[in-house]
Amino acid sequence: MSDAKATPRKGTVMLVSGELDKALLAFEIAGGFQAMGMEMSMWFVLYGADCLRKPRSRFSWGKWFGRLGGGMGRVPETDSALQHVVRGLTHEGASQLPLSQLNYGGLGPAIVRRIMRRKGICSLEGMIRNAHDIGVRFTICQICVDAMAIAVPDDLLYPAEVKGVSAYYLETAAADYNVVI
Amino acid sequence: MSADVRLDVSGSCCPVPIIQLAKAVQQMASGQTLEITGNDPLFQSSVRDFCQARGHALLSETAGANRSVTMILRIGE
Repeated sequence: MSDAKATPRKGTVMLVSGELDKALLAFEIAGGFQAMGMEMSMWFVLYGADCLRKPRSRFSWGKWFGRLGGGMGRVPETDSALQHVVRGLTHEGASQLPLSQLNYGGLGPAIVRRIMRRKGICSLEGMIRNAHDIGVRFTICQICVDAMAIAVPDDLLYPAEVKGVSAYYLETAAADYNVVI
Repeated sequence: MSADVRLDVSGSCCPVPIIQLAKAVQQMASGQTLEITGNDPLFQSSVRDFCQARGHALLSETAGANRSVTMILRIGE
């Protein structure tokens, strides 16, 4: 008898950290649980949204001086030079994320990625794609979108909604499993 | 007996096998059979857990070369 034939259970995973190891964990759980039959919703807050963004090198002109996007959830009237600074300092893209420990100035992620490749472990980019393809929903916190100048959907590799804490409350209250990573 | 759908996830690790499995099962009808082959250490337990959670019947498990295992399942309702 299946566990999931009644109303499917729901779960949420909130990613606050912009680090490779934390992001791998979040997408592993979200994708895996969705495959097992739980309807998963991922929320991205603060640095968590970094893994959804189109990768951009620290040294690209547009990253520091490009026009700040408008888009969903943004209030361009209250932008200042600090939005450019924040965007410039942000690790944009899954390939740019540091490790939370053993980062060693960038050597750590390179070592971890090499190990993962050799062991056949799915990369973070692959895990994000798998989670999206299998139906995990992505939502980004609106105040983070505004403060950190994330242009939705232009800056992102995957479609995401922009919502607030009330929507997060409704989802977590209806869910059996809620984690913050 | 040949399965309706064959899937090979050898060389990939958790969670890719069950994600590929879930995607394939979505396209299948109740009563059809699916054969999946994998070789990671968690492959057998992942597929067994998947069948238990999603209500499919595990018909057979066959060990192959190089730690590879082939499992056949029947899609439930």
